[in-house]
Amino acid sequence: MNKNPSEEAKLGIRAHRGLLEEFWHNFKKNKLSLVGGIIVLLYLIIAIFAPLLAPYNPVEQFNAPRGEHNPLPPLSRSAEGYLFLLGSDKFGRDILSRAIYGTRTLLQVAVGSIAVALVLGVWMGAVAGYKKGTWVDELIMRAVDVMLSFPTLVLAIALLGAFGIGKTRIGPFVLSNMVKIMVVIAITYSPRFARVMRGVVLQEMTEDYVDAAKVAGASGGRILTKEVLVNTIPPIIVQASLMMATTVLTSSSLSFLGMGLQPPRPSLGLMLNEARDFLFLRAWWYAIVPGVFISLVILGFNLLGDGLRDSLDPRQARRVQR
Amino acid sequence: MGVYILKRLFLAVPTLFVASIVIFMLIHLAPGGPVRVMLGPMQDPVLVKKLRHQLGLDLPVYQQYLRWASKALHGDFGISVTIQRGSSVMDLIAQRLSVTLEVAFLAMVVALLIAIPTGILSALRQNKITDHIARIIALLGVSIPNFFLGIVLILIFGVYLLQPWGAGGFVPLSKSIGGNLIRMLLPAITLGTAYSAIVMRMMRSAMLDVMGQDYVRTARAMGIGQQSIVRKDVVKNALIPVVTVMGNSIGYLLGGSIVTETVFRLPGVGNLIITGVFRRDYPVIQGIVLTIVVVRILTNLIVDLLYSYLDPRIRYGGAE
Amino acid sequence: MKKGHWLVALGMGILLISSLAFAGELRIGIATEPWDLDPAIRTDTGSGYIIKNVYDPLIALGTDNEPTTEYTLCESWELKDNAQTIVLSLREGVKFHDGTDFTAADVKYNIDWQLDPDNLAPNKGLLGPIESVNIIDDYTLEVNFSDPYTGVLQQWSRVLDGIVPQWAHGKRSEEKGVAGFAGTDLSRNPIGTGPFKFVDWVSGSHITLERFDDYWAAGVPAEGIDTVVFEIVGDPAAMQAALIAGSLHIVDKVAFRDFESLSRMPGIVTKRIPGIQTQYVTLNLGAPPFGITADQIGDEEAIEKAYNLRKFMFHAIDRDEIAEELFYGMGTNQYGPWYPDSEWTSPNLKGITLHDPELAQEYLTKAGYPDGGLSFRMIATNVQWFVDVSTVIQEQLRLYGVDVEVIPIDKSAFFDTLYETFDWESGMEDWGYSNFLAISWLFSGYYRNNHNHTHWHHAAPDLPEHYHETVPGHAEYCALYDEAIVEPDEQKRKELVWKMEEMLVENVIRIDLMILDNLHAWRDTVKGFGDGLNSQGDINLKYVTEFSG
Repeated sequence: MNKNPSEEAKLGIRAHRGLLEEFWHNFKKNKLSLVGGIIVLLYLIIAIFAPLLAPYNPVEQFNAPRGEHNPLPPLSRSAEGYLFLLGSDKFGRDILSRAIYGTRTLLQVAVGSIAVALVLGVWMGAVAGYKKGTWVDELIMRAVDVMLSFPTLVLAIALLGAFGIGKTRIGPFVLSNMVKIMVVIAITYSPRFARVMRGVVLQEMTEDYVDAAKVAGASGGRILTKEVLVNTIPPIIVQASLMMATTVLTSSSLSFLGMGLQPPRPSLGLMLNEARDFLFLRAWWYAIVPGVFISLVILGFNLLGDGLRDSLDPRQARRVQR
Repeated sequence: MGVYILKRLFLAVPTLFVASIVIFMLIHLAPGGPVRVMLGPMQDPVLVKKLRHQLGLDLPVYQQYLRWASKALHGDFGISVTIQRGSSVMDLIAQRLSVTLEVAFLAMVVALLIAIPTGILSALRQNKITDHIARIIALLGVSIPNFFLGIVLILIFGVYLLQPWGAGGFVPLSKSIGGNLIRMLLPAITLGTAYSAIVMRMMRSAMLDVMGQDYVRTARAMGIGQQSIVRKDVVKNALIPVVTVMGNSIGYLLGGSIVTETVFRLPGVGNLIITGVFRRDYPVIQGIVLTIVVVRILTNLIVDLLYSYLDPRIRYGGAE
Repeated sequence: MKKGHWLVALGMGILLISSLAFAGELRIGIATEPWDLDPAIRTDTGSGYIIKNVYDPLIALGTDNEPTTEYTLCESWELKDNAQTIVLSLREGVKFHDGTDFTAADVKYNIDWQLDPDNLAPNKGLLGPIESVNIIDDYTLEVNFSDPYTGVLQQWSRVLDGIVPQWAHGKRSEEKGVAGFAGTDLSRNPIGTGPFKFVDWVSGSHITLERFDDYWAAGVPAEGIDTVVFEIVGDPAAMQAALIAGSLHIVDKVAFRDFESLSRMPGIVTKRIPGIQTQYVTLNLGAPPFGITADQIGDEEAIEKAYNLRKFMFHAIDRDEIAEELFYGMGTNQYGPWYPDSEWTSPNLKGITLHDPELAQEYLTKAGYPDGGLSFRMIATNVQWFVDVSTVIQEQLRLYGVDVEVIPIDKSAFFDTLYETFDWESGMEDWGYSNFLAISWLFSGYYRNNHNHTHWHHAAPDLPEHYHETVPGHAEYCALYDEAIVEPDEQKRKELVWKMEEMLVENVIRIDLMILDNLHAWRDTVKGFGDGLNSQGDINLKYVTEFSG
């Protein structure tokens, strides 16, 4: 407590750099998380370069050869002679192209909803944590309680039911269907960020440097943004990366249930839903391809999240566990 | 502690209240309504109006809410309008809940059967090949979505092996216990797998925690055999947090049941929610969501209490 | 190890138990759950399946879609006074499941109850302009109409398809919870004269019926059936699997994609008959691009543009591709609003060009979109099938540079949007012709009425306020109808109907795509089931002659 402010600042910076170094050291030691990182990277590449990677336009419907009917198995050709590497769907669209574009859609929704949830949740949690014990805290945390009292999927279904599918006009703003899905998923996940954030802020507030800053006469807002928030980044990143996996799961579950994306936009969950009708015709590829695409991306985020958790902030590891 | 429980229960009341308002608003915001469903293709506007009036749907939403809430406070959740017309919502939920709870229970059994032994093994062989394999499988388990796993199982057992129970569907317990159980097998595995992966990871880390504690190390140093340490103390102590956190899983299992019941076409709560939303059976949706919320609030409370009991470092807002 | 063996043994045991068949139990898979078993207020197909077997109809439509008295409570009828009076001779010796005898008073009760406006019977309109219902004796009933009612037999086959015992509906009460509308006493406990008695209904799972030994017709219910279980299975793929495996004996629907392979399976009988469901694309005539707003009335340019775009739609949609791709060719293209092979369909329409890319492009160009650029929404009921048809249409129009946003919504929201707003451009649904009267369909779909889902109408004092004159021709159309409905000469009436149909097609008021076939499948142990199948797709177990598990 006797240190002067400049020394304290130095300490803070050093702790920060140390954290990053420590992180990388730990992270590369953990082979599984590297694998996760690579999977996620691959998916990002697939998503970004979908137009280059997909063999065909994902909405184009090809005809089956005479005497056959879509869906066609992998390695067959359409009447026009186009090769379906991983088979076709019931409309004669290329499964591989749809899976690639579907990956893009899925990641867009997942990243978008996490971003919105972060903004909402971090803000709520930080304010609640900082104003601990006041009515502000109480109000925010009760709101969080209410939201957490619904199972995610139930709340999402109810919200989507209320908004309907398609564009929604709210005053001058037009929300596209996809943005709406992002917002809905974000609303259901933001309370979790809020809880984690509040916990972390509470913990940080007890640290010496906050007291030091207070002693040094810094204002509340300044302490919150400059000192506390910086230190809460690691656990929030861990939470976000773990949450990516569950967001992917939720958004694909919603499309599986037929709520969410509109045709003909490729969606992995919807592909699985459609595939159910063709199981007994033994069109296994229709279900297996999108299923493997979804499972792998979730695996990637889980591995990465685990690795990040262990290496970024071992102290938080327990708390952040699902 | 008693004060804390009372405070939490007291705080749960507004949560429940607000939650019921939220869900009421949401379902009434959705376009359509039960009357459209009731009337089928011939939508005579005069009849639509009369029916809406009879159902009280022409009142302002807040009045509708008050009407509903005052009855709900007395335990009357109303009557199904478009799912099984005339049935009391409570009966309907009870009927469906029994199916969901059966699946959830069996899923838990599946999960424990897989998770506890694997978790123990994994911890004992920490960082050895067995541990790595177990952890990778566990990660795969949490990563494969329920609906995909379910479809794969149907594909294997129902489509390629042509087992009649492999195609989903439901046989009531009252009709045939064997028929019921065999049809519950795949849904239980589907729901239990991801869950087992979670429990396994918890079990492993809890084991490692306990094994790292002084008294275990002392016991080891004293030459007590590894086997007996594991059996007697470590597993027992490691199970405490595991069991605690399992309470939290009610919500997970209820959420997972929506998808699992859709895949296997089981007449459970999840299926009822989906049908309720599609058919706009307001009283049913309202009743079922509220039931789920109550269950979640109670389990959250119990879990929190157990946490604070097990880890006295966590204190609650100066209540103690 | 020991434990492992024990588990295997348990598994085998469970397998054995589960494969035991329940002797005498006929198991039927149905796709959608019924919700109201009172014939006077039900509106859905699922409930109809149960009602057909628990109750007897007053009059029915036979397999040729003509009125019949086979297995009905009416033995014969007589239409008198230019179809203003009908006299029904009722069957004697019929008992209800509660033991009471069936008489003319029961039929009168059925009619009166539906006529009572307080009971809000949804199909009341089909009863006709009833003036009085008189009981002549216990087994003779006379009904008088204020106007000629030529369609009485057709319409009554639907609205009186289940006769309930007197007073059985019970009293309606508003006190039954906030729902108020709790159905009647019969909604969950049906009582009829049919060959099967109601036993129980487990929501989401099944409905059980048992044989009614006092049924009036000899040989019904068939030897070998003790109980009937309607299993609510949901998806057709699983239903088929269960049928093949033998755990179901009858399924209510077969998916088009599975029909061929199913019909080659040993032990399974299949039948394909033309159905009553028309698949249609409806266009909103009350707003651009396919119609005009109230402000545009008289604006020739806007009217012309909307007309060109409707014509474009008519010729751009390739029905054959839809039929081939989604319905495996098991449908019949429609050339107008009615059955293509019916003599009530205008001969001028039969065989007209439907899909014509060049013509479509021509109309699109005329409308001012030579290179596309048009975009609109198509709402579709959130059932795989409708969304699929929309998706194929979407792709077909994409080739013209036309962008269709397909919006799957549930039925409830669909009807709400269609009937109450102008906030939609096109919609995809189906419609079952519940009777076989072209003129009655031309009335309910297009005439000046208050449930016209294309918004083809003109303003009138008895119509909702927001209705405005849309594309021209509606008044002429209504005049034609008014003329046809009172025309006593059938040939002249036919010609008027043809004229109306031609008007609808020329103006593209609605695009009727095709009528799909009904596909049925059952196990060969259920003998005679196929004889009772008509185009409405009912499950009628009265025709079953023998059942052997």
